[in-house]
Amino acid sequence: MLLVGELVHLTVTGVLIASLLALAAVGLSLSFGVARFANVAHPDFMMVGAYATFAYNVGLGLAFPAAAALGIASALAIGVAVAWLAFDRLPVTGNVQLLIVSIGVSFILRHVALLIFGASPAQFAVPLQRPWVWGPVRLTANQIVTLAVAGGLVLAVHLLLSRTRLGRILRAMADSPALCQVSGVDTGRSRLLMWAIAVLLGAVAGVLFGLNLVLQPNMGWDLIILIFAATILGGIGSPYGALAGSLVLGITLEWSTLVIPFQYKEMLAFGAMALCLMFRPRGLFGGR
Amino acid sequence: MTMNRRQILGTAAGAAAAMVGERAWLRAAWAQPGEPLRIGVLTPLTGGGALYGTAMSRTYALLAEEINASTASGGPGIGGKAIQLFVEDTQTNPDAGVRGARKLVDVNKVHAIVGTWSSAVTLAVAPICVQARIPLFCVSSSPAITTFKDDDFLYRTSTSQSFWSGVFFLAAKKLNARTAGIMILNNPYGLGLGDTFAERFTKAGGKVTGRVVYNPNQPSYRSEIQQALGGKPDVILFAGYTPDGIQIFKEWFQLGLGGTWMGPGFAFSPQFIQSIGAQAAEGTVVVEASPRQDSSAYRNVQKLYKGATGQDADVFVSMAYDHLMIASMSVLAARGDVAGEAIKAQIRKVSNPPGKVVGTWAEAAPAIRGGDTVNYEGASGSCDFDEAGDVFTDFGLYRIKAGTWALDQTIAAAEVKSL
Repeated sequence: MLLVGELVHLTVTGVLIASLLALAAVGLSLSFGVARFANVAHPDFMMVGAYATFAYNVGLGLAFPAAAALGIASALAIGVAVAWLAFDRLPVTGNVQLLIVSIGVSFILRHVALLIFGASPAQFAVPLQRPWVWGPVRLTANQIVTLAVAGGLVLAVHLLLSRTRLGRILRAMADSPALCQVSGVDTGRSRLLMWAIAVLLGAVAGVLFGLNLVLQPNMGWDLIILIFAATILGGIGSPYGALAGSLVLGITLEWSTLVIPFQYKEMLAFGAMALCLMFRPRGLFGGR
Repeated sequence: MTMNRRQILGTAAGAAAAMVGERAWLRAAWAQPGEPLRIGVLTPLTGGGALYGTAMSRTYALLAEEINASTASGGPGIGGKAIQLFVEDTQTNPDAGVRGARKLVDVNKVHAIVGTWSSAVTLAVAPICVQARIPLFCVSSSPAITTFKDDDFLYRTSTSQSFWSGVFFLAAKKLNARTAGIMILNNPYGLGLGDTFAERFTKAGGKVTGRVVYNPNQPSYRSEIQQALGGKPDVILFAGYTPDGIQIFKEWFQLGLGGTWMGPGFAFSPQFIQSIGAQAAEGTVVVEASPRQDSSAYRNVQKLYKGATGQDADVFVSMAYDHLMIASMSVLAARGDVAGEAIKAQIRKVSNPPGKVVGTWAEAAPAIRGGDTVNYEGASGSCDFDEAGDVFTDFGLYRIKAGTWALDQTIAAAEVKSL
């Protein structure tokens, strides 16, 4: 009984982590599929969203929902502008070159945040909450909001990709950009919309992260390995896979603490990832 | 030569007429009066210690400014000698720390280095200082710093971890705790403190109900917290830093599990309390070297730091103040000799008893100039260095009440030493 309670607690924690990872990983996967390079600066869009919200919420004293809406909108503007300038406009081609550019972008974004907001952990002006307790499950209202928003957005991305014209174009671009172009698709514009979706998901993840935990200029960077792992595990370029990858990673991360000390939990989680990839080298949902 | 000195003394031009007599004294007795005291400020401005290192760096600048503007020693600065700071970033990383120290020693030719924070950085930088024959003042707490062969050039204003674990053991005893949980950061400080505490605690008949070693920068600590609190211990020892502490406490409160935490003051800092809110911090036990709130040194650093930043001076800010005060007093006591050996020879004379108790430049400078023996009582503690360059200070056991530390009991240095 004690073990069941513990397992439930660990699972809930794992799902909470996964919900944050998934939002970032889905965006990363999408951008990898379409733009065809690993955007190292992607997790920093989380940080931009969180700090933009912080500026409205704490700096200007707006209520949190309004600040979050404005913060996400501002992050969208900043993020898309940065992605367009650095990844679409620079006369740089090749995945490796763009990867290096994205590392540079990541440094710039973090250091600008450091310059403006300082290194100290920051918080939204949102009071701490006491949890609702259902047996071993303990969740606060904000955590339930987090799960709902993350679930809702992942579903929205699914609908967008499967049911809309833009979704068809993005999937087509992921398959063959050249074929897309000769079919008369405005690939530049579609790429821009893809960046918007990716940045939006990242910024929302950042705001939710800040709501539950704390803001630091390195907050995105610290998660980079987990986010990339979730993306790879799910199958690079597959948004559904990113969701599945996040869940597998988040839950194994927590479950592993039943058998090994906490400080080694990443080891088992990444071991599980390696094992998955041995049997499905293109990831859980890869292999298109 | 005269021109040089005039340039250095330039800031005091207005007061020059009143100081003709003073200058004569300086000219007669001082070695190289014009050469500034060059101090290397080597703190973490980025990385894990950035929070504290930036505050420390700021403090050195504030105190240097105060001393440079003061004429308490008979001339501006240290008897006409300006303090010049050279700032480098250790990035909380030994490699970067060594690069910074080399630059300070080779290019800037500093006379002392102050501010190394992490023990790993201090131990990497110390050999460079010993080789250059200049003092190094640090705030690190690893026991290895006590035994390091430093030719007496390495000083610290924080107590060693081996001392800290005794302090926490006594704190648990004073709280009548029979069971303890421990939640420790996975680094030499966390493991050193957590495990030596556990050893003392179990040897004295206590029981450790849960031990969790956590890695920093996790997306969640919910499971770690649950585990550490699993056996409902009387007290939970937290051996981490402020940034991870904020996140852990936020999640702990939102789990609604209860329990009494105790931890070091540099983790449960005013910024920590402000971040998690007075409600979540209420009742938490803070163990810290009694920051001499009654000392003139503390009052002065609080005035300087709060005036500049609006924030309270924490223990690292206090230590930074103490470093530069001791270095400056030593140079004054050495009659302006800035050579590392000369500074070193004065450090214990100005900071240990006996002597007139001083805490600010305004108090210390005239006394030293007048030939008095002084005993510096610092902002972070009494700053009485033993043969190894270590300090032993009294500690306070505080409880967080309505957002501030309220002193509950004291833990005397003698009590810890007799364990």
